[in-house]
Amino acid sequence: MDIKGVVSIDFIFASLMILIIIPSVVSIAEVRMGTSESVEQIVIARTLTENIAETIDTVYSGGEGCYIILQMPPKIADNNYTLTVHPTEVVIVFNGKMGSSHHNQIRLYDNYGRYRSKFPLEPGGYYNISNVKIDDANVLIIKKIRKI
Amino acid sequence: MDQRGIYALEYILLIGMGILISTIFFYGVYDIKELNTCMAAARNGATEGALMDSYAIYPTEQYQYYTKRYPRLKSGSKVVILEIRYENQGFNAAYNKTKIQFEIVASAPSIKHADERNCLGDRINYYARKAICEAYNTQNLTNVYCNPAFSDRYFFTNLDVKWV
Repeated sequence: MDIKGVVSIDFIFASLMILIIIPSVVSIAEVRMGTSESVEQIVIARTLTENIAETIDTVYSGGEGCYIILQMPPKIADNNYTLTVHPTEVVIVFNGKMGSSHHNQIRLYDNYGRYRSKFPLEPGGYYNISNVKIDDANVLIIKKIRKI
Repeated sequence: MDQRGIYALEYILLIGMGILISTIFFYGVYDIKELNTCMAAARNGATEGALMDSYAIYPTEQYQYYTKRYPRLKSGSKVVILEIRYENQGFNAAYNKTKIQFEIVASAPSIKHADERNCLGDRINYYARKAICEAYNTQNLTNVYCNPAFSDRYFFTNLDVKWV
């Protein structure tokens, strides 16, 4: 703006261009932020199920006496979740989505020696996954424990 | 402007021409900007769909359906978006908007079966359309599949994903 208060045409032109461009940038940015949050949840969920499946395989292949203490995260990117160990897979459900990771076929027992067809792992919980022998067969016992 | 506050005729003509040209120019820019925004949103949505396919994390109902019909899809696979191309199919009087049909080209070397690829492709297309609707807040104008997807001046449909 000059001393007479007149704005140059360049300035007006540039301002109009900015006014046109900003709304589209904002809308794209909003969509991208939503996408990145969704992708973050997906990646964390997949990583969690893969880690647990790998832990189960490690304990199973470690033989009798092998155990691993597992700490479950309290949330997945600020979302609640449920995670269940099945004889052949680990299944996660969160925010209307579902996924699973496979592991070697196992027989699951709880800490009272009862057979379980599935075992839920609570968010934020600590679990001891151990390999023990029952009736001459290696089985996995999952036991919820207090914080280490 | 002279000392009596009068503009020269040349100056007025110049400004008038400038406003006229600017109006025409901005109309064109706005039009192109909207299409660019939509295609950027579609690319973004397609990437999200491809990531879900890659990590094999699906909406609950679809996961359960795949468990019964396509158990292979429960394991992750490499899905890559290679290209998104579109074609302007002209003004459509029914919708009072210009129709754009886009086609996504993707690659999933580990998925060989056509039906399984269709499942992955449907998700990619759905998330591409959904992203366009979200960018322009037009979810209330379309159906649950966001097909077609609307922006202010365009509406979008898609071909099946082309797998290479």
